[in-house]
Amino acid sequence: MKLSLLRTLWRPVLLTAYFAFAIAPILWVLAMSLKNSADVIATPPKFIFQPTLENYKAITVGLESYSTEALRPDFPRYFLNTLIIATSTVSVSLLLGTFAAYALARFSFRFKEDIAFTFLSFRFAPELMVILPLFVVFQKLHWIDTFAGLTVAYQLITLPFLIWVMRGFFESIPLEIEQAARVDGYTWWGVFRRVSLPLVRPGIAAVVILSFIAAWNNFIFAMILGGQETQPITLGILGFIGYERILWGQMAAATIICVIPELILAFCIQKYIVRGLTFGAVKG
Amino acid sequence: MAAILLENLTKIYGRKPGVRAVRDLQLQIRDQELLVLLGPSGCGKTSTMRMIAGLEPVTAGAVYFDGRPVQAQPPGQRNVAMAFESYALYPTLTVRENIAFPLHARRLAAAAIEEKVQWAARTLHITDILARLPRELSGGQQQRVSLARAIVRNPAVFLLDEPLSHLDQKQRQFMRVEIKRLNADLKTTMVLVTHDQKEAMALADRIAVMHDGHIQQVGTPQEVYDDPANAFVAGFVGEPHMNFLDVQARPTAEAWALWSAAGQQLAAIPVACLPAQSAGWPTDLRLGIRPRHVRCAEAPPSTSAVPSEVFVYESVGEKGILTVECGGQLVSILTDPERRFERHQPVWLQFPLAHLYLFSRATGERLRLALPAPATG
Amino acid sequence: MAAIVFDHVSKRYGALPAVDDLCLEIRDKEFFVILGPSGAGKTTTLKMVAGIEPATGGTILLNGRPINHLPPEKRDVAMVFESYALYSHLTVFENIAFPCGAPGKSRPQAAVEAEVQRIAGLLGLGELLDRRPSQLSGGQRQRVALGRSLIRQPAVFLMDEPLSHLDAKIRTQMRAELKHLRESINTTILYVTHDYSEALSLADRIAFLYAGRIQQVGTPHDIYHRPANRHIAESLGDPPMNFLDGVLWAADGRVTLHTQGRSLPLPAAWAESLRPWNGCDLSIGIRPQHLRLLRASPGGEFALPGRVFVQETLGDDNLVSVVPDRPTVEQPVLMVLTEPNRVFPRDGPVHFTWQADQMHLFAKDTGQRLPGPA
Repeated sequence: MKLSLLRTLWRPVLLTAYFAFAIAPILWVLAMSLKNSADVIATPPKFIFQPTLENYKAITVGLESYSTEALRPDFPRYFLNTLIIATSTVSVSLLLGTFAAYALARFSFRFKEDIAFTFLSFRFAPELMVILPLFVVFQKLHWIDTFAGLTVAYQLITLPFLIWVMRGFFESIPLEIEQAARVDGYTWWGVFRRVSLPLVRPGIAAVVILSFIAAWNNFIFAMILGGQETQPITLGILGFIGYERILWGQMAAATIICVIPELILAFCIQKYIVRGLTFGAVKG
Repeated sequence: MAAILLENLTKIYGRKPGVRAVRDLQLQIRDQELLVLLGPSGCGKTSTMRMIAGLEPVTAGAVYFDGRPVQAQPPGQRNVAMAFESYALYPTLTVRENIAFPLHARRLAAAAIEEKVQWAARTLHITDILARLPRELSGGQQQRVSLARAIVRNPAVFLLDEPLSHLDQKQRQFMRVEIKRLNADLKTTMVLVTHDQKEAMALADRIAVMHDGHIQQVGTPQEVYDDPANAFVAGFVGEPHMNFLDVQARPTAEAWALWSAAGQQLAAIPVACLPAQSAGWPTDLRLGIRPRHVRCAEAPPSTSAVPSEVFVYESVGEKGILTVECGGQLVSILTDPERRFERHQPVWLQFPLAHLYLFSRATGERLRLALPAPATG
Repeated sequence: MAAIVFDHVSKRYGALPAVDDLCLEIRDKEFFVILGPSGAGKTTTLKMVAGIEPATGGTILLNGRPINHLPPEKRDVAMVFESYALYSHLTVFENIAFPCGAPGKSRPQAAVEAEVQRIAGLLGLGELLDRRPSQLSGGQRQRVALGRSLIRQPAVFLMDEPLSHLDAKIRTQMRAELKHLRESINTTILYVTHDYSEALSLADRIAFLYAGRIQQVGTPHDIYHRPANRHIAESLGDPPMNFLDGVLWAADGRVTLHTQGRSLPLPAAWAESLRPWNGCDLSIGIRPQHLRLLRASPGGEFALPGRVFVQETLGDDNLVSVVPDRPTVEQPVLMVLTEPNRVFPRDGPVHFTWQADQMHLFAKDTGQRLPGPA
C-alpha cells in the first residue's frame, strides 16, 4: 500500500520541488520590487507586506524623495537601447545566417565543413578572451559606443548558433521537395522563398528567441565596447549599487521590467520552440 | 507439441486510456497445427504473438500451453522458439555457432550439441554454409539459419514473425513450401504472423484473420476464402480483391431484387434461397463478388444482364483485368489476357447467384444465403 | 520526331556508374516504362531528364533539342516523385496551383482556380482542396502529386514509381485509374517501376533495365511472350517461370531436347533456327500455368516423372510443387498451376509435361534466348 502511494507520488513531488526551486528567485525579485525601501532590507525577510509601486515609479518617471543618487530617470533610455541593440543584432544575424545556413546545407564547395566549423568555433571562446583585441580594433575604427559597432560585435554571439541550428533545419527538408519546385518552374531563389523558408519557420522562431535573449542579456560586450550613448539595462542596473547603499527595490523593479520583453516573445513563439529544438519537424 | 489456448487476451500500450492493441482475444490453437495470424499492420497480430512468446507482458487474460497457464512465465521457460522478421542472427558468430547458441544455455555435452546442429542444418539444407558469417549470406540463407536456430531446441511451439517479407519472389516461393514441409515433418505447433494473404492461404492449416485487435474469423484457408464471416475478411483475403457494390434490397413476392443506386437491377435472390433470418435483414446492403466470378459478355446474353461500360482493360501477363463502370461503381473482372477491349465499349455483366456474397452495409456482417448445394457430377 | 532521346547517357557517382551508356528513344505521345529492380538507376535517369541531376556523359534530347545545359525550370517537364514531394506547408489547392506561380508561366488567378478545380475533379480530390498533405492518406497524396504535374501541361511527364508506397488494394485501383487517365492526357510519359504488372498494364513499350544496362525494349506482349533472356523471363510472372537444365541436339534436320534423362523431340519447324545451337547447354523455361500434371504414367506422350512436395490451394488457384528427378539448387521444386479441385497426395508420384510452343529456351551460360520456330 505504502509502496504504491510512493510510486504515484514521487513524480509530482519531484516536479513540484523543482518548480519551486526554479521559480523562487523570480518570485523573490518580484516581491522585492513591490516592497518599500524599509521592507526590502528588513531581517528576517518579510513575506507579508504592503505592496507598493513606488519602485517602478522611481525608475520610470524619476519620482523619488531620497538622495539624488537614487534618481534613475535614464532607465527608459536604457530599456530602449537594449531593445535597439537586441533587435538589430537578431535582424542582421537572421539575414546573414539564414543564407549561410542554406548554403552549407544545400551546396557543396571546397572547405565547406572547415568553414562551418569555424563559425561554430566562435562560440567556443569565452567572451573575456576576445574582448580585449576587439576593443583595440573597435577603438581604431571608432566603433566604440555606437549601435552599429555593438551589433557587429554581438554577431559573434548570435550568428554561430543561428547558422548551426538553421543548417540542421534546412537539411531536414527532403531534397525532393525543393527539386519538385525546381521542376515546377522556380529558380533557386523562388524555391528558397516559397518552399524552404516557410518550412523552417519553427527553426527561425527558436533561433530568434534564443538570439534575442542572448543579445538582451549580454553584459561584457556592452560594458567594454559600449558607452554612454548605448548603455543597455544590464549595465544600467549596476547604477543601483551606490556608494552608500544598494537600491534593492529599484534594482528588482528594473529586473522585472527587463524580463518582460523576453517573456512576451517566448509566449508568442513557445509552440514553435519545442518543435524547433527537436529538429525534423519538416516532413510532410 | 503443445496446444495453445488464448483466453480473454488483452494488450494495452501506454498510460490511460492507452492504445488497445489486442482486445479480449479468444483463440484455440491445436497441437501440431500451423496457424497463421493474418491482418493489416496495426491489427494486433504481432502483439498477440509476442504475448505467446512472453516478450510482451499480458495486460489481461491468460495464455495456456497444454492447459498450463504461462502468461507469468518469462520467455526462456516457456519452451517456445521464435524466428524474427529481421532474422536477428548474431553477427559475430558463424552459422554453426548461431544455431548452437540456444543449446549452450541448456548445458548439453558438445557432442550432443553438434549432433543437433547437424540435424537442424540438414533439415534446412544449410550444411554447406555452417562456417560462414551472417553477413556473407543471402537473405534466403539467413532466413534458413534463423529457422534452424529456432528448431534446434525442439520447442513445443514455433513462432514465425513475417518470415517471408524480405525475400524476393523466387526465394519466397521456395521458402513457403519449405516451411509447410517443416511443419509436417517436425510435428511442432507453429504460429505464423503475416500481412500477406497469399502467404497465409498457402501455408496455414487454419487462418485467424485479425483487425483492430479483434479476431474477425478463424477457419481453414478455403473456409476463409469461400465463406467469409464479414466484409473485412472477404475484402482482405483473395487476390484480385473482391468487388463490393452498394445495393438496395427491394423484396418482392418471388425474390429479393438488388438494385444499385443508379437504378439498375444487379441480381435477384429467389425467395427459396433466403433463410428465415432474412426477415430481420437491413435493406442497405453490399454485394460482394470475386473478379473471376463476374460473367462478362460483349453482347447481351439475357434480359437480366446489367449493362456497363468498359473503364479500362489491363493485360498483365498471365491474366487480363477488365474494369467496368456499372451504375457509377467500378467492378473488376478477370479475363483472358489475349482479349481486347476498347474504352467505353458496352459490356453486359452477370453476377451468378452461386458466387454472390451479401453484407450489411452498416456493420459489414455477412448475411448468408440458403443456396442449394451445388450439383455434383 | 522522338520525344526523348538518350544518346550514350551516363551518370557516375565517383567511380560508380549509376547509369552506363544509356541509349534509348522514346516516341512522341508514348507511355514508356523502364522496368528494373530497385537501385538499378531508374530514378537517376528520370532526374537527368528533369534536370535535377546533371548527366556526367552523353546528351539528352527533348523533342530534338539537347537539354543537358538547361536548368530544371527551363525544361518543359513535370515529375511525380516516388515520395510525392508535396509542399507540406501548403493546402492541396495551393500544391496543385503552385506551378502556376512560376516566373514566366503565371496565369490570371481566375484561370488558375478553374484549372485546379477541373483537375481536382478529374482525380477525385474535390472535397480535399483545403486540407494539408499530412491530413491525407497515401493514395490521396499520390493524386495530389499527379494533379500538380497535370496542371503544367508539359511536353513530357516523368513518373518515379508513383504507386510503390500504396497498399496492394489501393495500388491495383490506382493502376487502373492511371491507365484510364492516360487516355485523357495525350502526352509522352516516361514511367519507371520495379513492379512488372504495372509495366505490363500501362506501357506502350517497356525497356527492361538490369545491371545498369537495357536488356530488352519491346511491347508488353513481346517482353512477356518473347523475353530476350532468362532473367527477364524469370522476373515477369507470378508464380515465376520454372527452369530445367537440358542439352540441345540438332542434326539431320531433327532437333531433340535432352533433360532429366529423357529426350523430347521438337517439331520440325524448330530445326532450322536451332541448328547452330547444337550441343548447347540449355535452361528450359516453362511457366507454371503451362505445365500439366498427369497422374498416370503417360502412354507414348513425353512426360517427366516427379514427386509431389506440397500442394497449396490459394482460393481458386491450385499450386502444386513437384520435385523433379534431378532438382538443382536454383530450382529445387517446380511450381505448377493446375485446375482447382484436383488433389495430389504428398510425396505421391506424378508426371508433368508441357507443349513445345509454350516453352522458352535459353542458353545456360549467357542466359540469351534461343530463336523459336521459324
